[in-house]
Amino acid sequence: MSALDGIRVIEIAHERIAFAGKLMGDMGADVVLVEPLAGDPTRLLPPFVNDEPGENRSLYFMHNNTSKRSIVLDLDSEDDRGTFLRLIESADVLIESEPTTRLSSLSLDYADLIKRQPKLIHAAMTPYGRGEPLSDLPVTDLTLMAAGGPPWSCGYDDHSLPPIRGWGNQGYQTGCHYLFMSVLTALLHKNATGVGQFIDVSMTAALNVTTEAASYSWLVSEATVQRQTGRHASVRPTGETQVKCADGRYVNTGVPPRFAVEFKNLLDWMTEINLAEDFPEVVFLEMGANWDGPFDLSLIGEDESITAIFMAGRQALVKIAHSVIAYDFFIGCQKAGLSVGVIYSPEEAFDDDHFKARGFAVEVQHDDLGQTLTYPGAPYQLPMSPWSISRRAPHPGEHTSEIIADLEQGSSD
Amino acid sequence: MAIMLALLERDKSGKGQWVDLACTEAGLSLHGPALLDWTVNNRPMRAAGGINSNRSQYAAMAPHGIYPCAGDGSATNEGAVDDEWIAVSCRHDGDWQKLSGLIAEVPHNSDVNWCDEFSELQQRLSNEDELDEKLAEWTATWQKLDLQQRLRQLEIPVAAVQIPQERIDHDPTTENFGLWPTVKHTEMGDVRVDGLPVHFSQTDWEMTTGAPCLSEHTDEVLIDLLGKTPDEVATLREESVI
Repeated sequence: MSALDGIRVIEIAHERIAFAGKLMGDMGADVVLVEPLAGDPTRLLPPFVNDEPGENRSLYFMHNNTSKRSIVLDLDSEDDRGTFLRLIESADVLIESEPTTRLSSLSLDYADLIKRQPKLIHAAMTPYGRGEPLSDLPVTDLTLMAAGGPPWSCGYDDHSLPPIRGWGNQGYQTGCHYLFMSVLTALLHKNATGVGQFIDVSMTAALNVTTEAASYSWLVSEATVQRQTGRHASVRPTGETQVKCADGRYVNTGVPPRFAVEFKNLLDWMTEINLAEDFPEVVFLEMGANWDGPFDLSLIGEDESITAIFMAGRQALVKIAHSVIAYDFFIGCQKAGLSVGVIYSPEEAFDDDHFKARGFAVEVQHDDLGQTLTYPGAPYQLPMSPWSISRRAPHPGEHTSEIIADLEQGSSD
Repeated sequence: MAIMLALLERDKSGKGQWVDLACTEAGLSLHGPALLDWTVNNRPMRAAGGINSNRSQYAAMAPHGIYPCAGDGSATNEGAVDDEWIAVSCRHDGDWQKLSGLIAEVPHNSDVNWCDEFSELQQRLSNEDELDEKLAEWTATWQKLDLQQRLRQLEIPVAAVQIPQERIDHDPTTENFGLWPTVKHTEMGDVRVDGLPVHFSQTDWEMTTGAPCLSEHTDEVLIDLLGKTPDEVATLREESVI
């Protein structure tokens, strides 16, 4: 039992919305993936289990389609459209990312569907919005991201290197997050009023509003942020934050010390590992540790003492980082109350004790492979409405007969 | 998301609950395929010989990257980088044939047949560094919006890397969507802000006021929500409680 238990979602298979269906299924919704006769094309995307291709071996598909059932329907065939409409009658939510006029050409758009299910919530996610002809031009995650803004803010201090798109189809995921939140909003409204609705999600608009300072620096002061290595893009350059540790791994020094107690903790740590004696600026750390009252941060760069103390704080972090391995640096900073992070690859984070202690990894039984595979787990924990992968990703049409029998049972009741 | 899920649960059970969201877990859960590639195939994401993240991680596509474009000659920064870029993805041989047709039509130097050695997908994937280098030399002769228009006409996935000003002031798609509403801020007056990237047919959003100034609504909250009288609020203020 979870928050979306009893909610039926119909998802017309498309790589852009698969992740949204997963978010719903893993919270208890009965997500029915409607696949074309040839199956969803993302079934053929690598990586594959043991690097052996196969329509039921794609790890990309397996991740994005957990907790769903599959029915194969040819929406160009009248018979199958009839089945689709019966599915809609049984459903609470439809999610799709079809070309803007495809469903209306099949008499399957919102105006048609609410004749069969008046309380339907129909969410359409398109590159630029349902009313925008550009939405029908081909896109990839990369081109959506470039149009929507994030790459402008990501990359390196050296601007002869190109802006960078984040790894892993984050453009699709950002759209899916907004689609999911919008459907949840509509479900709350439906609970309160009994009324469904149509939702128009624009993927590039979703990316635009996740660029934070890039947008509001322009909106408020017509200033343009510039990308920087490993830190937020900024109108004015900010100090470097990535430091290489003794084991060759990088850390991000995050927010340097700003309070007397943090300077004291840093000083104690340097003393403990015998670094204080050959750190000429130790005197400024001592001044920081003994500072009376709060620092006026606006005086950095103006007041000599405050500037020297803050410079010493940064330099002390860099010196310690050079002397210890990254994990010890992270733990030491945690103890000192300083916010820093080890720069992990996803798999390195997965194997970190913090994630292990919270039980982030989950095991999923694959009866078809005769294997149990380890998946990333809950993005949030709600004890009364637990997140879970209720079933492995389906094979194409694996549940077609089951779902049709279910619909027939429903109509004879 | 988690809060709305808890509200839906409360609709059913009448009960609230503790919601525990670790930002790092929410972030890590976005890397499913990379994590499965690790747990199943023992392949780390940052292996030697791996691709940069502008390239396609899943579907086999090349070229697939962000390429330089010509500026207006006004660059004054270090190294005089114009910092104009365009993202191009060729999904299949068909896209590549159309792109190489345009390259042949508008060559940038005497080497007009360089595309021939990349006609097969496998040739493009195996020599992606060289392909990117050659393509970058060609894109660098174009203004990004001109190239974007030509590639849109050819139905090749393309987008100029838009700077904030372009996204906000010159992109008809964000304007048509109503993405930058003007709100009233108590101290700044009228100011444009981020809207929401969705529209609802029944319960659409509206933004009229900006973020609150510090303690702007203290009296309103104490009196309207918590039932204090104006005299009690005045006393709290005299006593520096608020």
